[in-house]
Amino acid sequence: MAASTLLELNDVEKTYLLGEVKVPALSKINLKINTGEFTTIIGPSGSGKTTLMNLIGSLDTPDAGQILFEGLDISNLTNNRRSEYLNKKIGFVFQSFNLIPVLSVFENVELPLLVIEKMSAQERHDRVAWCLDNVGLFDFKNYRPDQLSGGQRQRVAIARALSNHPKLILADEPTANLDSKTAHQIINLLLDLNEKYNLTFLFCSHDEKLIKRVRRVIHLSDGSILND
Amino acid sequence: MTNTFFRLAYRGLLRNKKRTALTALAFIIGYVGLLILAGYTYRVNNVLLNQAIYLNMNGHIRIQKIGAENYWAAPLKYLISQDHILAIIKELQIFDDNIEFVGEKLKVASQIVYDDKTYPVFIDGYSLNAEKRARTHPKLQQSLSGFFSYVPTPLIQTKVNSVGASITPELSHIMGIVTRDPIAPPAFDAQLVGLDFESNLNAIDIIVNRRHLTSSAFMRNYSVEMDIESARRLTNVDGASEINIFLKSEVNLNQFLNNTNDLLEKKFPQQFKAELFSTDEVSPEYTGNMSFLMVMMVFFLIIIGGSVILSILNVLTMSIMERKSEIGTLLSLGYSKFQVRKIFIYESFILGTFGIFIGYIISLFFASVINNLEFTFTPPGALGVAFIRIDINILLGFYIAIIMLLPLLILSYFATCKQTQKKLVHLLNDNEGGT
Repeated sequence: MAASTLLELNDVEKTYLLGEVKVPALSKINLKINTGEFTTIIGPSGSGKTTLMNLIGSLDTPDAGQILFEGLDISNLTNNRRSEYLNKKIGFVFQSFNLIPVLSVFENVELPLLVIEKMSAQERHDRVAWCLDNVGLFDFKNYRPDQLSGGQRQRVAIARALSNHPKLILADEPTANLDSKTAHQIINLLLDLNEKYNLTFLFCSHDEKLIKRVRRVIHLSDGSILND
Repeated sequence: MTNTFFRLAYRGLLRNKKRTALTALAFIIGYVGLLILAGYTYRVNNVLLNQAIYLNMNGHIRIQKIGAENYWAAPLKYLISQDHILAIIKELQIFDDNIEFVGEKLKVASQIVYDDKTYPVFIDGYSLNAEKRARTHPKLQQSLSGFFSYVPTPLIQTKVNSVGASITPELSHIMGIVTRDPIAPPAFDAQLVGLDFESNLNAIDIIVNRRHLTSSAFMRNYSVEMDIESARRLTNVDGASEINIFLKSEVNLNQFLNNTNDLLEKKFPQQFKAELFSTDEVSPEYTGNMSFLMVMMVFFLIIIGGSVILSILNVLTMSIMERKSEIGTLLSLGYSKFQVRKIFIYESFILGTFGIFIGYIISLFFASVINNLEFTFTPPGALGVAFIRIDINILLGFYIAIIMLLPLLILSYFATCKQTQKKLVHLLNDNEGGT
């Protein structure tokens, strides 16, 4: 089956204003991501990786250009449309895990599902159990995040990102705060999920050693794509 | 989802137990202070209200001739004739379900003569049946008992079909009749002299066998109470200055007033008007004292309530600032801004509700202690020495709770607005609260 275009960026630009100085973060970015792809964006610090992820995840808005997700322009969504987009289409894995410290592992993974009105408690429970199973943390479901290691916390974050069955999972330097062994385990987990469930991943990192298994690598430098 | 928000809010409060405890304590202190104040105001209002209605014989509704504010200039002109009294009482029968009893009052300016000396007095002549029912009314007895050292009694019978007159201790003192107990009479004979309503000189003999207190500072040196028939003999009339209607508890006063005025206008066009006891015209002591109390109450409400709410908001704002990353995470998971704000509103709600519950129990304890200590003071317009009494009930606690909780919740909403309006990327880049 031919892969369809999930995400398309056309001449996307983003400039930041630091005092009176304009700093161009992204410059005429053109990019297509197909369904089921595992794409890695590699670049040094300041290359614009995080800015690109933020724009795709609708956490920020571009100054120019167009971002199409399943044909819908997400460049300037209203608050309600953005909430719907983030909940139903996107899963985030953050560098700092961003787990809610007062909730258990189970409750953290369940969070995105609570927004879905027609999901029963049993359905939520089954979904969370499936997610935790896939990351190997079902036995830790009652633990609090501060009782877990860094790698375990990131697995919980991945489980949370999976829970609402998103079309695209955005992982912004998910291994930056982990040791190399744990970092490789996390990358392998993401790759396994991609192969097993044909999930689309957009993963960014500054560490080229992590990307040996990855088929598609985009090099970003000074806000422009060097090669794809 | 509401369960999760409550869980998030509740556990958020437990994150910093010391801060939460201090914030709760601030709320409790504010609530207790306001409830004690409200309890005192409520009790005083109860006392003044029953004084105005029953003790001062105004009733809930007073009917007078239109223009009766000029009564003292031309009493005969504004006198309600006996025929009119009977006609009005007959028309009022349609409200029998609401009326407990009806009285008449005749006001007379005269002079009391004792021991060859003459003293100016203002006489209130009451219909005896109504006077007895009012002065022994359970509401009056209950509200005054334990609040003032003085508990009123009706006019005292001298012999069959005759009662004595009553004067104030101050008038008694002016007349040179000094007793150890200013409330207990020695009875004495006196005479009331003056012009009747047709300007003829008249006099009647009376027995003064009772003392009474009045809340009107002006009237303390001049007030005489007696039965209306004696007052009518003095003035040579058979009418009354006013008709006083005493209502049953459950009646809506404003509605009854409107109905009465409609009836009076219909049956006696342009002749009579009905007024509530709680107006300046009928009970200036009541309105004056209550206005003062309410102003003080509102002042302290603003000061105490405002201070407490602002300090809680300050703590909440700090808490929100510390959890910007958490707010960003929830928004990035698809939660709407309103849903995220709800979490912090729930925090304020939990804190406030807890504070109200504990504060109510503490208020009951403090009220009990204060009431048992029996502190005394002499308030303006008082019937002698008063005890400080606090009356606290569930309804009062509920009103004070609403007054404190509602602004807190509304301001909590606005306090979270600023953070949730920020761009997601800025919220998520603050990692202070993240794990």
